Amino acid sequence: MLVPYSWLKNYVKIDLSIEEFTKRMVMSGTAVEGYEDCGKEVSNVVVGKLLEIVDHPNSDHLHICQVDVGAGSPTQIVTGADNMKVGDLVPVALHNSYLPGGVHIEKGKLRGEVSNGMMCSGEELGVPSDVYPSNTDHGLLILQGDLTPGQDIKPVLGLDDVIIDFDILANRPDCLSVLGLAHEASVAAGNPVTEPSYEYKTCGGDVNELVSVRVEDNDLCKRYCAAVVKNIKIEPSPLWMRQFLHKAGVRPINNIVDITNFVMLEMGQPMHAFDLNSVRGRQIIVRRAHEGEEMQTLDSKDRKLTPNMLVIADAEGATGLAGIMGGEDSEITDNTDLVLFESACFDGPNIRQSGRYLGMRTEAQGRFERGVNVRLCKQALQRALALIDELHAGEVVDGIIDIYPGEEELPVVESDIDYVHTLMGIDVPAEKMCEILDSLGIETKVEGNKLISKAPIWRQDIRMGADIAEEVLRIYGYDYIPSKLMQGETMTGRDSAANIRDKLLRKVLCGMGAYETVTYSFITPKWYDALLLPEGDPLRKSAKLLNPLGEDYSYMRTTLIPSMLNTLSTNMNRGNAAAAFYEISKVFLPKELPMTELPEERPALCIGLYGEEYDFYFIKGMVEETLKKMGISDLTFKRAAVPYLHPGRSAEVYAGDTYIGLFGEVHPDVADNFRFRGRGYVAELNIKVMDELTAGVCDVQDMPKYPSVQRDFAFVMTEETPVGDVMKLMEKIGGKLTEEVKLFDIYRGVPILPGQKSVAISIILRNREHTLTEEEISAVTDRIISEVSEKFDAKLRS
Amino acid sequence: MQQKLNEIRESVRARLEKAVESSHIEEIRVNVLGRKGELTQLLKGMGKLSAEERPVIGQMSNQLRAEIEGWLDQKTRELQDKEKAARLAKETLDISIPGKEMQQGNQHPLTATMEHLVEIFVGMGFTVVDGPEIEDDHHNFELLNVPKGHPARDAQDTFYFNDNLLLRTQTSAVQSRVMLSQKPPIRIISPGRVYRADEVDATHSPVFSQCEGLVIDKGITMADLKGILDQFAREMYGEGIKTRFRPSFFPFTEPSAEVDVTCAACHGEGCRICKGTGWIEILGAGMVNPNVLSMCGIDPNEYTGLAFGIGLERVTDLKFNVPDMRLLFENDLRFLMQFGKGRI
Repeated sequence: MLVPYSWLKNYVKIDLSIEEFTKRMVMSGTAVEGYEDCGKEVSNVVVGKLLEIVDHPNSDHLHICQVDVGAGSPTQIVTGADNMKVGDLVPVALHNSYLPGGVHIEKGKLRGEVSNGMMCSGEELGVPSDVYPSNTDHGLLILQGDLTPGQDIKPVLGLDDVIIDFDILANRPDCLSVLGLAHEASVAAGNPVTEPSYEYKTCGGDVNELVSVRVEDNDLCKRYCAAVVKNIKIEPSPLWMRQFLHKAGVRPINNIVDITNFVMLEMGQPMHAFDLNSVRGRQIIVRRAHEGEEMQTLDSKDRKLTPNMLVIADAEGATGLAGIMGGEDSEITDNTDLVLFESACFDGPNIRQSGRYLGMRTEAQGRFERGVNVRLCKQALQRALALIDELHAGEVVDGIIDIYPGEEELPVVESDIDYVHTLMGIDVPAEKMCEILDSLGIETKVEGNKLISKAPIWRQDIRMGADIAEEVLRIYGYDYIPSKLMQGETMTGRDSAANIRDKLLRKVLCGMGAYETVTYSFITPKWYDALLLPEGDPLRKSAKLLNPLGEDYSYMRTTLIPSMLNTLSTNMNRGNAAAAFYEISKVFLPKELPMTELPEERPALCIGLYGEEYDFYFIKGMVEETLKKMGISDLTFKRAAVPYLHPGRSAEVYAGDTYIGLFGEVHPDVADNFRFRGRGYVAELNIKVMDELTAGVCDVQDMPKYPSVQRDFAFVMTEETPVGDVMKLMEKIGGKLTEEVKLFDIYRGVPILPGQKSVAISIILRNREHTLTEEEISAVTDRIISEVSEKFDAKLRS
Repeated sequence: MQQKLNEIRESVRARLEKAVESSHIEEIRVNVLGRKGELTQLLKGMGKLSAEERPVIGQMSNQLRAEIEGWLDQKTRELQDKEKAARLAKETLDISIPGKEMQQGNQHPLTATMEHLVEIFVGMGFTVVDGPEIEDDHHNFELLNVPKGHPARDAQDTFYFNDNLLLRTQTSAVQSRVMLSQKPPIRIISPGRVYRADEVDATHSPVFSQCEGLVIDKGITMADLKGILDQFAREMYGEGIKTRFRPSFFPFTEPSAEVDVTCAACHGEGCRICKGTGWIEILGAGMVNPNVLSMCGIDPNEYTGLAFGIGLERVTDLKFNVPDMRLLFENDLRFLMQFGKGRI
């Protein structure tokens, strides 16, 4: 909320620098986003009075002016403007002055005539025309009022002010008003609040004879106050009001509209002014919209209403969207002479729903959503009427209509002093607590070991002891809370099994040269297309957000692979020659669509590689090593058949019969879809399954006492023969004696025939009971030679 | 005989002088002491000597043999040393050539920070629990004192799947799950991802990470909260760091605070990063709202509690001086590799 410092000072005396003031506000609980000095770019600009205007001898559009700038003798300034006359007061940028945008004005000569500065337009000073109506697009800003030549321009144009941007907490809608903030400022500054005037004179008559108000849906309208003003003179509001509104970010319109906005900013109560002559039947009916009802709002848009929406209707139909926007029909115009002011309290959630449904977002709506104080409706209306009176904008008809069925007493909060002390962690004496609470307007007395507090009319958030503790503490000072280490039962801290496992995975994968990535959990559905997943593929079964930031972030991912491919692509396109990555994250697997219960959130591991040094066997090795380090053995591999991987270079990995995941080279079409060139490799493993399979702590055996023997074989076989199967068979033949089977070479070329390969495999045998005998060894090697030759149609190379 | 022995001695000496390789020594050994060597041959003629001369010459020749063997051994050692020195000299490498490139990756700064943070709190007796990222309205809002229509729901700009299911807006959703399933004393943290409909910029991301903390016990106070968070800040950033508690509001805590730590970039002097304040906000905290305790089946008259939610991205950015939060999610290798150059 933007608040001019000067406006705040209208209600409370603050003798503090802006730095000190904002610091105190922050430390007592009113956050400040920042503040801006309105006149920080303007210097050495004064009020000047035109004494003489003559045409420039060497120009057909320049004028030479003698200007009284309070310097004793007149100053000569040349200008190109011609909207001024002798006697006018204008802003004068003197020699060596600064204007907004860093413009530096110095004396000089214009076509041979000395000019000791510049007379300014409103635009040059950053003064908008809706604040200063005499400010025209081209020409000097002609100043109004009783001003002295030579006086600083800043106070004249309201530039001697600071606009503070307060960040208002959700529980303090009262601070969405200058007066609400004044109550906080009063504690920060140590001075009392002076309330504005709620007094006005009336012209007699009776409001009830001019209009009738009926609230049909009390659940959505807790209070409705209305008053009527006649003989309205529509004109611009006074300069001070326009300046306040402008600095608070509201565009001045005319006196009536400005009063409603001024009161909204001052007291936090959104108000609406109806042209009562346009209210058909002179009836106001607060009700839910009818099915199919339509209306045109102030922004000239036709709105289709639903029966969930609250409207302000007249005898014939809706004429305003309650709490959101008025209707075009009853808008205040230059011809309006009879006005109905509305000051009501509508239901926030309902307004929020209607606003969202219609795609509308107005200042009033935001305030109702955050909570308007039902107790202040009437007072705000009286304030508006007082301003009508003060501005001579019309005559107030006697009487205020006030429909307020659920009026409640201000709540009294009883809080146990010990409890308040416990929450605060500091034993502030009871008298001090009362003093602090009183300064906030919370009348408090001590009864036994209790504080009895009554919240002021403007506060709606004081309901229980914890609230009292916070009020005391924030004024007493959070800085005074001591810092203690917890007492109580000693507890053993423990990391989660999932975190411990993730740490191990990170260690293993980093050790193999991969860098960890973190990507968003929601993805674009286009990535499923890019993976070439067919309709109905299980991976397409994604939870979909109703209100995503955009399609790119709309589906909860069921696989980490597309995010990884995107990361590979980003890196490749930024010129990183090679990269190895992994990500540990959750995938979201709905049990059904649309989702009716929480989905499975399954942890997954994804690996991605590209670059010269990587190939299929590299990623396979990473998968094998990762699983080994997790204590998962008995791995088998089957050819994978997924559309996003190369059909001949991809595999599924199992432990026994349990599927763990897949890996392989990215299908070239998919690589194209993700805009990367060359080959890429990915793996995705199901960590939940890995958790179930993991062996846990390593099982260590004594060192073998007896030597091992190694026997090497070279078999010639067809290209199609899976080497892994040959090795598996050898391992099996060795049985208990097998310590390791290793592939050490695959040779193609002369003298091996085309379509064949020579595969060199060694087996290491050991008997843990005794030194291997020749018979034991040859029993194994003979079987290897015969069985491999037979089963795989292979030949032992001699 | 004696003269012959002397001749052999002199000739061996002369030859040894000239020997430059250990193989020459072996040659000499064979030529002189070998079966057909000069000395051996000479001794074969001993039979011709008189009985008086024989023991004398025998002794002399044995002495000579021992003497020669000594020389040979010594010369061998000398030559071997020389040869070794020469070999070592020849093997001298250019130590300025870079070492073999080791391929080690490193973990992401966010997970590194998370692990560090977990370590700190586990050390203070906290247990780590996990919670779902897709939550229901009940746990994410209702039980946290944010009823339907509450303005705080809007402020958080929640991502919804339907009326009931949503992406959790804060790890506090785990609080209610823990309180409903455990009895006090409770001391847990829960790190994880959270989601808010914030547009992406240098300090915002729709996906980010928090670490929730919750302590419920008898007599827990705001001073305990301060003690825990001071300890956390010191361990995360070092001894010189200070914390600052500012009053704030969260529906699930009362009183509530936002907590700043000394800006690491300027050490509290005030700079562009901290907008001149010297402080950087890293977390929200407070005393668990008694309504939340009641709703979760814990008697607020018997127990009080404290809770905090630490923004991991902020903590990470501050710890490593990361200038833009977007870098954390872009995963550019050149960014990630920087976290392999020191402790993380």
